[in-house]
Amino acid sequence: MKIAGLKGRSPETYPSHRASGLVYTNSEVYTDPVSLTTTPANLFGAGSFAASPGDRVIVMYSGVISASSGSILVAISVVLDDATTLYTYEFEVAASNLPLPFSLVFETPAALAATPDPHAITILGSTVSGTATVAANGSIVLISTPS
Amino acid sequence: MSKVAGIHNKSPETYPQAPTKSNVLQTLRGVNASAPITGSFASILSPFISFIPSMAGAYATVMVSGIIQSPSPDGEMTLRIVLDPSGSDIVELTSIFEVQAASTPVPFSMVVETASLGAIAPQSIDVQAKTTSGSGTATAADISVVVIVTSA
Repeated sequence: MKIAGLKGRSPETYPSHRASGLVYTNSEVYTDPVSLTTTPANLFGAGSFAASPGDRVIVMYSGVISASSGSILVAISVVLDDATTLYTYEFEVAASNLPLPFSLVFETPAALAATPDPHAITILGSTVSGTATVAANGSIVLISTPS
Repeated sequence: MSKVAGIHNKSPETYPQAPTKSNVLQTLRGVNASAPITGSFASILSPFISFIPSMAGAYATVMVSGIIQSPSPDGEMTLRIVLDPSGSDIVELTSIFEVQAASTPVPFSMVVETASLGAIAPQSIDVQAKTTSGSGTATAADISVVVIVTSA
């Protein structure tokens, strides 16, 4: 069923922009723990964040990761349209030094392409090797600047 | 309804206010996969961020994230955000992180807003690092920096 005014948006998975002048902000807090394995997991459950073609998007994320046992290397990535990894950084979580707060800031390298509309931005986390860890209390703020 | 002289933008019912104009002048970005850290301050960006604000009195919000790894020996690393690194060399923020070879890489992030950048003129922003002890080495990696330039 088509709903007028919702073109290109799925409110369940793409929270609406909040307009502020020519800049749009989008934010979400996800308090549930997310188990991390070698298979990348969405740090916001099934949710992605919408961005419009032509926008440049600044992604700011903060969260906490703890390791259940031993030290483990984790990777956090900013992914576009479930296909293109824009940015990844890896760091070590030591069981003797947990929980570990971390944050990242990243801007898309160019104005987003004309398709798809909207684009979907996702934050994924994974372990570089076996042992599961847990990420929790994730918070994201996106600032979209139309070109 | 006819227009009434003298109330342009003053009657919210009949003359809605003009859309709010953004005060974001521009955004800039930089990424660097890896940079060495030694005993002297050196840039961990390549190149550093350069821009000319489109109006006088602009401000820059600088945000940087990344990791530090492979210290030799273990120890503290000093990071700083510098305005005009090739000129007046204004240190906007300094932070110290401890990095141990047994638990690396360590994530870091810093955020700071500059004071007014003054007249319209070329500006540059750098992120620099060194080993706090002044000796030894380490590596910064996966560095990402975003600068938001705003008007007052």
